[in-house]
Amino acid sequence: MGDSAKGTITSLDSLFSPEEAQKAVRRVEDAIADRRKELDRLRGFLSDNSALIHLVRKLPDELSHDIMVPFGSAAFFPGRLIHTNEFLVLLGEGYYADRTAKQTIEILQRRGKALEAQVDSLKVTMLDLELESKFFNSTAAEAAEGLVEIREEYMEDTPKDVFESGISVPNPPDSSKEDNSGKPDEDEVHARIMAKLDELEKEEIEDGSASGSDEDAEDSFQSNVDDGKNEASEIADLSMQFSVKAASFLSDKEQPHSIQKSPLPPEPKENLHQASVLKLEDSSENSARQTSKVGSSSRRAFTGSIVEHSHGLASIQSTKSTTPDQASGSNPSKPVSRFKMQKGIR
Amino acid sequence: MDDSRFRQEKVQKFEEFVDRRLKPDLVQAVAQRDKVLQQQKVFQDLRTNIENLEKNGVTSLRTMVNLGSEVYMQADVPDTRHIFVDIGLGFHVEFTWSEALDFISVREARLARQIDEHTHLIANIKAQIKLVSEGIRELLQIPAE
Repeated sequence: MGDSAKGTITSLDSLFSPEEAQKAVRRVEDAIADRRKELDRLRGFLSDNSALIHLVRKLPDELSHDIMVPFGSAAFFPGRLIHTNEFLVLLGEGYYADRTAKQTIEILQRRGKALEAQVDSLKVTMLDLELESKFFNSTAAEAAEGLVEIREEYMEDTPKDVFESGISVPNPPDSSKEDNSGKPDEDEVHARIMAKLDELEKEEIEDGSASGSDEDAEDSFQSNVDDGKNEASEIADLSMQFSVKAASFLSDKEQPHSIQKSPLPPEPKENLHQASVLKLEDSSENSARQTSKVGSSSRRAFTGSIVEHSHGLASIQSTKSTTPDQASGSNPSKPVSRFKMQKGIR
Repeated sequence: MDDSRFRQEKVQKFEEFVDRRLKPDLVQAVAQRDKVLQQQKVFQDLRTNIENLEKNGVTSLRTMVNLGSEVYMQADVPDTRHIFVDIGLGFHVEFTWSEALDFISVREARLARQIDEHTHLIANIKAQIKLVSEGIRELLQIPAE
């Protein structure tokens, strides 16, 4: 992880303060309430209109209707509706029109259509507002929860460096690729390797080193390549990771895996790493295909030179069967050669 | 210093009281009075109309009835001598002209009394507002002095 991806972490809190988001939500909700009232009003008009159409249709059926004629707003006269087919319709702006029942119905129907168009447009506006409020709501909730936005630069996975000593760590995600050439006895070797990795992982965990491998193994891997010891540790790290990524590794059988290139921050946990490397070496010893691993990373062109530092490897070799906690520094020469061999194979 | 701060707090409290309690109360009282005034106007118009009818001896009437949404239809009132007046609580009583006029006078008197009450209330609230403002002014002036 460390060097590979640079990113920024911005808490949503800073972008949209929760209170402001709440305020925005309230504002939008107020607007929605207003629109809703308008909508109700328009709907009322529409229903009145349809009732009136019904009435106008019914009135001409009789010559006259007995009604209570209002006189002002507080008094009535008993009276009769006459000329039941003649209606005086207000067209607006003080203009009236005398129309028959049929014509009045047509006028009212046109009015109804205009009202419906208004209602539709209002509904669309309300929908937009509701979406807006939902967005604000969710933002407020997220900000309140402390959601964090993480941005990272996209780093091309280019294996810049050498992967030292053929402990090619097959990058689990990539490795499955296939750089590896044939794998005979893969299963056996694999099983062994897996077992070793598990052990290593356990040890690692006990040690309290949690290598988080999130990132591209290769990246981390490459960055460390140069330093021999480091590399060894890297490798060890990787191997640690490797066990973690066993599953993905599965696809990449051959590897001895020495080092799993998992996105490990290169921690100089040399002992551990070396130990792990050791263990790995052991397994790798069985299979000669270690270097193929490099391949994994090397899906890409292998541009670097393989620097074989015996230090890490040597120790590995020597301490093959010892506990992982072995110390470091010894530089095994054996592994180097083996790697070279493997390199040759590749 | 303490004094001035104390005064400021008091002034603030008074202002708040005025704004939050008294002013809305005033607005409400005025609105109620307006409603009563409107009703009074209605009855006044009715009275005028009935008196006109009486004066002109009008027995029948041709009028336009609003069917809703400003669609009018002609209506004929053959006999205007009987008029149904709304006496409240959803009742309409059939009156002759003179009875109607009597009723309207009684109604109008009642309405006038209601209006008076409302006016008193409004005046009261206004006085309270003035009082508080005076108090604030005093608080502010005395320190200025």
